[in-house]
Amino acid sequence: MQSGTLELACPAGNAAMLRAAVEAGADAVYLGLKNATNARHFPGLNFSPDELGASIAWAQQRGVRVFLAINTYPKEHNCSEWHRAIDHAAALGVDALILADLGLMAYARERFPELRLHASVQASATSAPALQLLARRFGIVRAVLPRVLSIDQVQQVARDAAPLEIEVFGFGGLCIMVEGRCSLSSYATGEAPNHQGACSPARFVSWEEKENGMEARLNGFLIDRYAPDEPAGYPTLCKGRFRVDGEIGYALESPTSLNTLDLLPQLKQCGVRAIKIEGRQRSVAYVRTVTQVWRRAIDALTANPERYTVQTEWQNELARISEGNQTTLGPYSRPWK
Amino acid sequence: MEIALAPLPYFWTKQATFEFYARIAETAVDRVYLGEIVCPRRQTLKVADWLAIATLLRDAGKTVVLSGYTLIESTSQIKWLRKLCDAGWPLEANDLTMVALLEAANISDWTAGAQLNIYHGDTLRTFAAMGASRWVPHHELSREDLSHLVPLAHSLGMTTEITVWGPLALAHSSRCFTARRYGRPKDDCGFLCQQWPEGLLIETQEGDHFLRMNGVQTQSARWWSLLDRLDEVCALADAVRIVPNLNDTIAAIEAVAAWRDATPTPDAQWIDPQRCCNGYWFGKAGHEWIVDHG
Repeated sequence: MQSGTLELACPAGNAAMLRAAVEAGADAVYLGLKNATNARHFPGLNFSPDELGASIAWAQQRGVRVFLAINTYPKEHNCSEWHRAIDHAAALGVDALILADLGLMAYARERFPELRLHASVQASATSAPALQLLARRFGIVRAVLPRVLSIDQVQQVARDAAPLEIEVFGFGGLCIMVEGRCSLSSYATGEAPNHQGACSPARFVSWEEKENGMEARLNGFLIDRYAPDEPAGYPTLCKGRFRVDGEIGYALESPTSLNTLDLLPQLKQCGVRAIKIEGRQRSVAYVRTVTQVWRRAIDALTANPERYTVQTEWQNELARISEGNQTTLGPYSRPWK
Repeated sequence: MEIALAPLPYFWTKQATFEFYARIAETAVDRVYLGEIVCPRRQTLKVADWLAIATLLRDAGKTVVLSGYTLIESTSQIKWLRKLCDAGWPLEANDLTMVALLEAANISDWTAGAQLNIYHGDTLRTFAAMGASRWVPHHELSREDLSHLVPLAHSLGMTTEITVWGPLALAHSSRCFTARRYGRPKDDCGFLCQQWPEGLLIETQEGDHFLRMNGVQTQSARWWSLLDRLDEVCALADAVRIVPNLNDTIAAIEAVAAWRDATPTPDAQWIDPQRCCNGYWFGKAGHEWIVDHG
């Protein structure tokens, strides 16, 4: 990595995705263990301790950095599992840990003072003073910003928090709530993104074909009802259709996903250090396609910042693998302001 | 057993807010948290107005604490927090930004709010080291979880304040859902949320009362209630916290005060399974109402 260039950090939900990301041009990959220590704790996803070692070595041999997300919040009775994950990651030589919990940051800092620590989006740190506190107290060198800030706010935070590095989400699923501060899922199901590492977990989901369409439920709550000719989606709680003041609609968030290719020059201008692609729970094809497109975009921007334009073919390729019906600039452009 | 009143989560008119706190001054509540914590656009009351209410409550013998925002997005909010920190009153932090300002100003003895994600001992120690002398456990911590943490809090010299009544603050966003519902941009919201003094009900399509829209905050539709479990709460807590809603706040304070005076008046409104929830206390889904005699 040259200094001043944007780093492309890509998701690896398993070893095949990791290979796809590396081959498609990722500068870094981020991944998690097969347990609740990370925020994408889904069945069939993530790495066993053995797989992790082999994958880290394989990626690092190819010049790609590996970040391990340990970005959920343990409780007192199961804290040792998170500590073991940190110890293990340090022993395997990960390039950075992505942490959310201040107690874990303190643990990692004390045990492994040389290890790079990144603040996860789940740490809910949205301002320069908050990030500087994490840097001062725990030696955090990079922070992933929650997906709630506008481009102007990102710029302000990046400027004021320097030399701390800023990483932002560039593409993928869009969380409308401040990450690390959402207990909608635990309210409905008892399982929380913060503790079990999953939102609206699959084991609580049921679909039922009814006379007036398909009903999608989460632990019994009717999250959405799809007309017979309408494609049925996954009942993520905040993306459901509910009744508010007599009218049924997407009360919180429509199912859209984030795509900031248009904003790439501005993000770089802001001093953003890395672009993160969301989607460890997606497919190998998703990871390969998104990584390829973003690699081309970042290379185009680096080669000639003045002439950067988003190519139609990039957008077409991304549209094919996008979740939901449309992509947006999300909070960065603040369409709702 | 101290009785504490959390900051008002809703946007009421200036007059309604002043009247509410004038009534609170007459109650048995010991400690009152004041300030706008949800949305920076809600500025009907300026810092000076909050300080006037603070003075009124202090003169009535209450301990007053100024509370900071839950979500910080702009430098103007940071300025607001700085004003709070400079005001010379006890403080509650609900975001790391405020914690950073407290640390920079060398202020200690502050309260760590429920949204700071203190879920285990090392984190509690970290906050104690940064100057917190009191903490409000997150609603996702169960009775069992707290049984591990409260002894540690005591050993760190920290007071534990457990919430026993009110709406649960389930999520925060930069987007205003109330404005969005009525097709208005956030920056020109017309302060619509003031029309719903307990938030706007979000029902499922089959009529389950599910959530409550409160501007940028999403709450539980059900009221969290441990008012029938004050014995077990107070085996752990040094203080209990009531989160204001429209019609129950003063009665909830009176219910705790009656329990404290050993004249409990069990009342059906605190244990109504149609409108209350306590699932988190038992490590279950938050919306559930669990009847447990164990």
